[in-house]
Amino acid sequence: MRTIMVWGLLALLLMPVPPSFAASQTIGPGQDLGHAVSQMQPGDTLTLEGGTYQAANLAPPAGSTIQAAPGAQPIITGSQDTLFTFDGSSQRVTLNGLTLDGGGQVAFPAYGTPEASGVTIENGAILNGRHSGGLLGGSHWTIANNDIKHNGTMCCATHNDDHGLYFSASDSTITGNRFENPDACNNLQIYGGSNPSNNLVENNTFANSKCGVALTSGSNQTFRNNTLTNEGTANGNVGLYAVADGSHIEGNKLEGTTMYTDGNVSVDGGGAGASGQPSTARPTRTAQAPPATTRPLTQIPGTLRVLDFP
Amino acid sequence: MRLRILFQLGGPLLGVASLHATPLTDCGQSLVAGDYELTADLVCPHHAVTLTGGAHLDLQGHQIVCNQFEPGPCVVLDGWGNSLKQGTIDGGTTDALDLRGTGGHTVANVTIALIDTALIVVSPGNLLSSVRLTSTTSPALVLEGAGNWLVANMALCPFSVFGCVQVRGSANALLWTSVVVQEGFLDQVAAIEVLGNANWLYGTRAINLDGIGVRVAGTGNTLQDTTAMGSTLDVQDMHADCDDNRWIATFARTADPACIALPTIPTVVQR
Repeated sequence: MRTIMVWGLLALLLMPVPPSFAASQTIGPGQDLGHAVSQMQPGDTLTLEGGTYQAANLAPPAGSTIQAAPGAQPIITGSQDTLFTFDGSSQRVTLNGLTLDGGGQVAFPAYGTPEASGVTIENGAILNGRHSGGLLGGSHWTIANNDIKHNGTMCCATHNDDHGLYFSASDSTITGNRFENPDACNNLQIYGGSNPSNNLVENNTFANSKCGVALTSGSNQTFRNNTLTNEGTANGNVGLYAVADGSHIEGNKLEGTTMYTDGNVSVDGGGAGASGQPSTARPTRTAQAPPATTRPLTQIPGTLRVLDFP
Repeated sequence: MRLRILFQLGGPLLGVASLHATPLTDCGQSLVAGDYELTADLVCPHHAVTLTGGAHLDLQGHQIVCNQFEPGPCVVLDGWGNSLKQGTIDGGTTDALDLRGTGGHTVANVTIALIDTALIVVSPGNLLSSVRLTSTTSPALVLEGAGNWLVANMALCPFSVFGCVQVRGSANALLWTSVVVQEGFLDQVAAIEVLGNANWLYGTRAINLDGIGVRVAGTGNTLQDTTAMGSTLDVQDMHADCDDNRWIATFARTADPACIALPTIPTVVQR
């Protein structure tokens, strides 16, 4: 009897330890994506086969990955406020190869609260958001190699301005994406939140939005080696508006697009105010007659210039 | 002499026209101390005007319009002791009016047309009265400064992600503020969001058709004679013990936590 107990204890000790590391799961379009995400633990990986999935306000756990199966093109769509919501509990999440399709109903297919951090969205698409493709706050985002297209339904005349990407985060990288949101105001707007700063925007293409790209809030944005084509269609093709202090505008190619800078922004190594040319823009509305004033008035430094690819 | 002093001191507040105001007819200017007025709408391709200190601009019922395809700010009050009154600002895509500098500015009887972020108050000691704000996505009013007086202002947010009125600063007084949110994002938006400390909100009226009426996350705030109605919750205090903020005479149906005293609604007896 004692021998049996000893062998039993030994057997227990030698049993494989249950894995404490991340798990992987693959699902197909017939399965419930929301349920699968709700079952994920931090660090898990969920792989999606090709097909269409319904989703609403998915909140993956920290460090997890949701990815397309090799060669597959999973499409995630829905009708609620978001498809994915990233907050303080979903830091360092990666979405790889997914198409987030708002179908013109989802307000923001991707939404990040001010507590979001380290989220990566790559090699996929963000399409047809009702307001914007994403409203992203927080910090340390990576948005890479995505198609960000056909987001936004309202612009300009109503001041209900929608955007391709409404970016309120800091210390982030937006690279290699293709922006084309002809019904939106800005293809990319960096604005709002708590002073979004130190973002790198490089090697993207921007085309055909009504207001172009706006680097408005925060400071020290780097915007380099991007191509802007026919941007600012509703604004006389003033398609790059860069006024965030300490920003660097370098090596961009502007096709049928002009830019406006104001303040402490360097353009291709030179200060905008120092090297810029006088404005040649056609105002989109009629300006009033010169002032009939005797008081000293100071012109706000502003620069409007056409850049050629160096 | 007394009449002159009366005009100088009371004119900007009482709406009395200044005798020697300079017409403002050009865009992109910085106004130094003195009196200015609009005699017609001012339509600007970019930034409209900055009041740098001691400048008093009477819009006289006219509009300042900035490029509707570009971000703002459209109008900036910088330095100390400017005033802006009696007219409309129709800004660009974002940020119609900023109050910066050392503060002490007065804004009265000004309407800000629909925009993303109507008014940002960074500086302290400002007086805002009868200001009407409309904003989508970001708040209509972002109040970051301290010691400001806001009297009888109104904010409307057709679509709100971050709250319609956001009080981040401390020791501000908001009296008779009316706020309406029509569509709130994720049902978590509060019409009025108090993040700062030691603010006094008196006579607030908050309606949120798609979220929370009034939410307080800061401490030491006093909310007195508040009337709030939200589709999901009327009033919320993020501190569960009700010891961190004072809720006095709150008129609402639902509260979180329940220790916020609400009126007893009488039972209707069917006869």
